[in-house]
This record gives sequence, C-alpha cells and structure tokens, in this order.
Amino acid sequence: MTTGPDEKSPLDQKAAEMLANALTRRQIMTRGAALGLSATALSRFAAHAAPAGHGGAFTKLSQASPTPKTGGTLKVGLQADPTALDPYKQSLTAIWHVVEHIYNRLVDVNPDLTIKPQLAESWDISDDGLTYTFHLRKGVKFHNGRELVASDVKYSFEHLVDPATASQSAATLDSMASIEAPDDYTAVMTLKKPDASMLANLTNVACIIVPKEVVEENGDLSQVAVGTGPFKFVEYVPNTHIVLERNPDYWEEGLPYLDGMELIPVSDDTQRTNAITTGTVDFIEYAPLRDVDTLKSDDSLTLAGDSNTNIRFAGLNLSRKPFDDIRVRQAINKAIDRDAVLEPAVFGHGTAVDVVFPPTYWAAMKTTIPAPDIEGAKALLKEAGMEKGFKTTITTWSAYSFLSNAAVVVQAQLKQIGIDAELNPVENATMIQSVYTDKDYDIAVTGTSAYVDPNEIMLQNFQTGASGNFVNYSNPKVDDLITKGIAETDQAKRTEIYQQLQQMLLDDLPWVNLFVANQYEAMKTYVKGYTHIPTGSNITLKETWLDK
Amino acid sequence: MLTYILRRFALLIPVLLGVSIITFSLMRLIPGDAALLSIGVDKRSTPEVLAAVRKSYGLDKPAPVQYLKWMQHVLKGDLGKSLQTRRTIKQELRLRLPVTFELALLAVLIGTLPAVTVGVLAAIKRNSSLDYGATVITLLGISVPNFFLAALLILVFAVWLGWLPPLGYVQFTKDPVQNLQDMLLPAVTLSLPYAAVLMRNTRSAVLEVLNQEHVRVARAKGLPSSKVLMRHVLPNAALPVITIAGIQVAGLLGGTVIVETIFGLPGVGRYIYDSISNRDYPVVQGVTLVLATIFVLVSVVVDILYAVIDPRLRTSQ
Repeated sequence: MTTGPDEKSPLDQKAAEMLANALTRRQIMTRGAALGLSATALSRFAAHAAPAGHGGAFTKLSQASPTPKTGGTLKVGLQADPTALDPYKQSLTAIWHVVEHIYNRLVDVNPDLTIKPQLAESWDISDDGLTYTFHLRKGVKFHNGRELVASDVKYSFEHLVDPATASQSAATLDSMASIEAPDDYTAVMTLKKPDASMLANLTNVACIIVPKEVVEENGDLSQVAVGTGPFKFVEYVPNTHIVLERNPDYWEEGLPYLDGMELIPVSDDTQRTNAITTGTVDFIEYAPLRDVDTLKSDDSLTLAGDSNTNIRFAGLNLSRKPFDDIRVRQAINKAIDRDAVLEPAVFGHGTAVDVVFPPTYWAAMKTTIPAPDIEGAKALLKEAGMEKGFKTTITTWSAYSFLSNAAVVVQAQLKQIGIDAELNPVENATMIQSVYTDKDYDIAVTGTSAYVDPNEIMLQNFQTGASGNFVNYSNPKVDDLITKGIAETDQAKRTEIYQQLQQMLLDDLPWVNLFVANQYEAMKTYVKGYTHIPTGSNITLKETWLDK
Repeated sequence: MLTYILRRFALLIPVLLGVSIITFSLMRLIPGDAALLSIGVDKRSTPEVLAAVRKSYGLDKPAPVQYLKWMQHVLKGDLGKSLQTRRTIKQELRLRLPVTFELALLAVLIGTLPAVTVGVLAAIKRNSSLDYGATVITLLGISVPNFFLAALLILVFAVWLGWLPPLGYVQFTKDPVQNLQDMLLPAVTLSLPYAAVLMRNTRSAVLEVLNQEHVRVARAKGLPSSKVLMRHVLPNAALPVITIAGIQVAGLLGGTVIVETIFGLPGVGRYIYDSISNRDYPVVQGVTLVLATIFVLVSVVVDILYAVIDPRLRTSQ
C-alpha cells in the first residue's frame, strides 16, 4: 500500500483551493468525533481512537512560522459543551477536546499518525508481544505540584478498568492483564493476548494519567482536572465556557506559547461560522461543511483540515428478508450513485468509497468505484425473484443532516430499481435502541467513528456477535482473519490481511459503503503554529501562538 | 380572599404529583436508555461494562422502586444528580434559572409596553392604517419562527453592523453591560411573538369594552375621551389581557430552548432539551417538576390578581 507524500503545506487562501486535491493523496486516519458533528450521543461514537504504530503520510497544514511570540489568550469555539470533565464517566468527544489540554497520556499521535512518546519516553515490547515496558519521563509534575511516578500509571489504568468506576471506556484496556510499577519510572503492562492495537488504544482519552489523591478527594473528575498537561484548569461554567491557563512548569520546553485559552461551546453550526467571522472567537473546530467555501474565501481566515475515516454507509439487516439474499444486496450496491450522495450530504467535502477505508488509508484496498448500473441491479433483483421490487424502511439519525440527507438520496436511487423505501429518521436514543440494540430495522443509513487502527472497525463491527455488529453479519473466514489481524505486528502482513477482509466484505456486502467526510478547523490569520491532526484532536493548540 | 388563596395553593399538590408521575413514566416509555447512550454504539464494549454503567445510574432496579426512591429524595428537597454532568440539579438550576428568568423578564419588559400601547391605539382607531399596520406586524410576529428571526437579527446586528455579539454569556453580577449586550438579541427574539399575541388580545379586549353601554353612557355624559379610556375602558379590558400575559410569561420560561441554543445561553430550556435527548432521567424529572411548580404558581398569581382587580370574583368565591 502506498503512503502519501510527507508534505507540509502552508495553507493560505490560495493554497486552500488546492486543498481538496492534495488531500486525496494523503494518508489519513482519524479518531474523529462522532460522525463529524455532534453534541450528544453521537459524539460518543468517537470515544475510541487510536493511532497505530505504522507509517503514514503527513497532514500538516500549519502556517510557515517565524519565531513564535508568547502571551495572549486564544478564544476557541467548540462544537459541543463537554457537560463534565471526567473521561472515565463519559465517552464524549467534547470532553476529549477539553481535557487533552490538561492531561497527558503515555503515548500520543504524530500528525502522520505514528505513535510518539508523551509521558513514556520510550517503551520495549517483548518478543511474544505480551509485555510492554514503559520508561517514564522524569521530573514531570502534576498541576498540584507532585511528581508523576509509575504508580500513577498503575493507579490510572486500574481505575479505568475497575468495575466500581463503571467507566464507559473500560473496554479500551480489554487486552490488559495487569499493570505494575517496579520502580518510580518504569511501568510494565502485561497483556492477555497479543494486541497490535495496544499502543493505539493508549492514546485514547480514557488512558490519561491522573493523580490518585485528586480522584479520591473529589469522588470523580467531573468538576476538577489536575493533570500534567500544557494548560491548567481554571473554571468550567456549563454551556458557557472553560477557562484554561498556561502551566509554567510544563515539561515540553517552551510550551505552551499562549497564556491561556477560553473554550466556548457553540453548538449551532451557523453560529460557529458567525463567531469566527465576527471575531467573537479566534478559532473554531468542526468548521461547518456548508460554510467551508465561504470561510475559505474570507481573507481574515485560515483553514486547516482534510478527510477522515468516519465512514458513512447503508447497513443491511442480514437476518431479515430479502436482505439475506446476496443478490438483493448486490442490486442495492449497483443502484447507488455515491457521487450523487456527496453534495447533499456533505456539500461535496468528502470522498466516495465502496470499501470500509478511504483510498488514502494505509490498509485500504484500491478499488475503482463502479458507475451505478440500474439495468444490472434490476437483473439481479429479477434473479432473486424480486423483479417487482419490494417495500422496505430506511432508518437513520434525524439529528445529523449528513446522514438523513444521504438517506434521502439512497431512497430515491432505490426507487429506480423498484425498491419502495420509507424514510424513518429517528432521534439518537431511539436509533441506538432500535437499530444497534434491538436490531429492529431493514436498512440503516449510519456511520462509524473514525479509526486509526483497522482492527477497531473490523473487530467491533464485523466479528460474529460483536457489540457493533448490528447487521447480524457472520462469516467464519472473516472472523478468522480478524483474529489474525490483531495478533500480527508486521505492517506489510497486516495490510495483506485487511485487504483480504475488505474484499470479503465487498463480496458479502453487509454494508453498502457511501462516503467519508472531511473535517476542518478555521482560525483567524493571526493564529499561527497550529497543526491539523487527522485524529480530530486540537492538541497542537499548545504550539499555537498569536501574531498580533 | 384568604380562603380563596389557600384553596388555590392546595390545588398545587395533586397537580404536581400528577406531573411527577407523568414525567417519570414518559421518560421510561420512550425508547432509549441512558446507559446505552452514554456508551455509544461502535466503540469497544462488553456486556459487563453496560451492566456496571447501568448499576451506577441506578437503572438496575424496577421502575416503581426508582420512582419511590426519587420521590423520597424530592420530598426532602433533594432533586438528585445529573447522570451525565454529575452535578446536582440544584447546582444546575442555580446557574440556569437566572438565565432563563432574565431572558423572560427582558422579553416581557421589551414587549409589554409597545404591545399594550399599540393594542389600545389600534382598538380606538379601528380600521385605520395604524390598525392595519399593527395587524400585519402582529401576524408576522406570530408566524415567523424564532430560529429564523434569531438568524435575521444576528445577521443584521452582529455580522453586518457588528453592534452586538452573535453569542456568548456573562453573568449579570460579573459584567452587567456585557450581560445586557449578550441578552439583547435573544430577548428581542423571544419578545416578538409574546408582544404580538399580547397586542392582538389587548386590541380585542379594548374593542369589546368600547362597545359596552357604560362606555356609551360615559361618553354621553360628556366626559373627555381620555378620561373615558383611563377610567372606564382600560380597567375593564385589563382582565383578559392579564390572563394572556400570564400564560405567555409562563410559556416564555419553557419556550426558550431554541433561542438559548442558538445564542449559546446556559438556560434551563436548553438544559432540559439536552437532558431529554440524553435520557438523563433525574434531570428531566427534577427540572420538569420545578418548571411545573413555577408555571402553576404564575397562574395562581394571575388568579389572585383577577380577584384584586375584579371585586365580583372575590365575592362569588
């Protein structure tokens, strides 16, 4: 699999035009927010995220920077209110986008999505893949002044998986058998079985290192935040703002440049655009796709961003007739014009796909997306004894227009081959209940959160009986390959395994994949040094400075 | 008068009990489950994780037990904790009720005087161009959806003119000037439909009184028309207007969801809306109960005002 060029693009207004073209060549992986936008349940899609330790191309869209200036407060428009600050107790992307500035993890992601050291300076992995030894950075201080030591790592990970914590993210460390701290600067993790995505899992926000005394004193971390990160927590007023101030003792030399940040939740899309154009804030995440072209043409603004791996697809309920018939699924696949979905769904800011990974992803199988074939589709339906078509229902998320609009297009395209689908947009809780839990639906137009390691999307969605396998898919060969993919550490071999898996999924069609969307941040031109990270993280705000 | 007031207050108890049972049942009847929602759909998870979360939310017990437990706490004045934010509902209300109250109060202040003035003038000068003009504006005020009006106001006053911020919130006690700047556009958005309804009702109430015989008598006596209006028309027309205003004010408290969301205000309407989406049961139950109490109290106050204004009501009780 090819990887894209290692490029750093100074993204000014003129270069912005080139963005779309350039992006398709990059390898992109994202641990993104729930389907790109969401304040509530859907953002929990994004909880899991993790870069794997494999090479990838670069997506660095920072401005060429002279010497950074220190000082100033950056006002950031967030896409959603975090509601609380405890990543153990909620799996919201919105929490991640606040606490990533306050806490550190053992490892973090480079813009090219390789793993980089954070609190762990280095690590050794035993030959059998079962023992991970992390060598911790010395002299790192929590915001309360105490030094971070290996027993904090032990405490944090054990707290996460403790049933008494009842963390939604407990399964992030499902592969961990134990964690020990033989001395102050060494943490040793033992796995139940080899897991190629382990380091990637450790970049999850739930794997932050926290001081035991703060958790015990407060019961949980929902209203306090004491970490080792570049910014200290000052104040959180719900639905109003989060105030952070510079951590003068931060271990990364010279960082952060800003004196502080004020994070302001602006959940209304139009208002986020208004906030950045009027200068009410200096920076917004999730620039609304509808407004991206307007924002690009604004001389006072810079955009950073690219495609991500949040795949959007039509899931077919394989345990229901007639979707148990492969010919019917093939007919649906043939009838759908993916390019026609892009404009109404994401205003053209996306890429049509037919396999589960975007073409730029390292493990993606290269395919040419076939043009819709209505006659071929009709012939298949006829073969399946359905030449008159049939009635069915498309269930989708009413809260996310990029999905409900895609569903409308799918509905119209199915009509062409005689499938009369009724549209059933439902609110988040109902969607999770009826589609994902009760599996009471025919066709679901939905999406996944973005993945960094291919294991996540495969294991979670396609393994027989997995909790995300709402399409009731079961193929022993696929199960077998998924298991192999987790245990394999060799990048080239993994690529081979995941490409085989993609081919099998393309043959079996449990999902008719539609597209992946882009994600952008917009900022005033005086905001310098920001690097877009294709995981959707805003962590590089610590390297951001104000040129004014 | 006192028994009248006491009786009105006694009626509160069954009403609020009913509200609590209905809210509790409705929240349990709609599909979805707080624990499932909090985990999300496609992340690594296990049945053990779900069971642990459900237990920590207190959802592992049967619904009637949950209700009784909740009522026990409510009677002690403890509304409980939000499942999602882990803050107490009291804490949240202390932050959010003032926002919504201020918003509603400003909307009433902005809307009432023009609405009543124009309503009275439109009635006196019936079928004049003023009356027709007012009718058109009223119709617009009632029919323009507030998200559209909000967008329009933001476009003009924040984006084009740059006079006011498009969003934001600072507490009044911290920075009154900034607070009023932040609140002005949302309050105007909220006040237009309120003022429109009030104006229509003032107009018809005044018209009705104008056609009554005692007014004709007063005119026949040769009283100046200003005196006729102030002494004989307005006091009689006030009754229905107060009713409508009361209902509207109570409605303002609950109808702020969209305005609060658009303008980024930490109000109570938006809080309850988000909590319904998240199936945050204790919040929906607790806040609904508090809002229902306020709503009912406002109508009791309106009833008492009636009695103060209209002696007939007092004696007939």
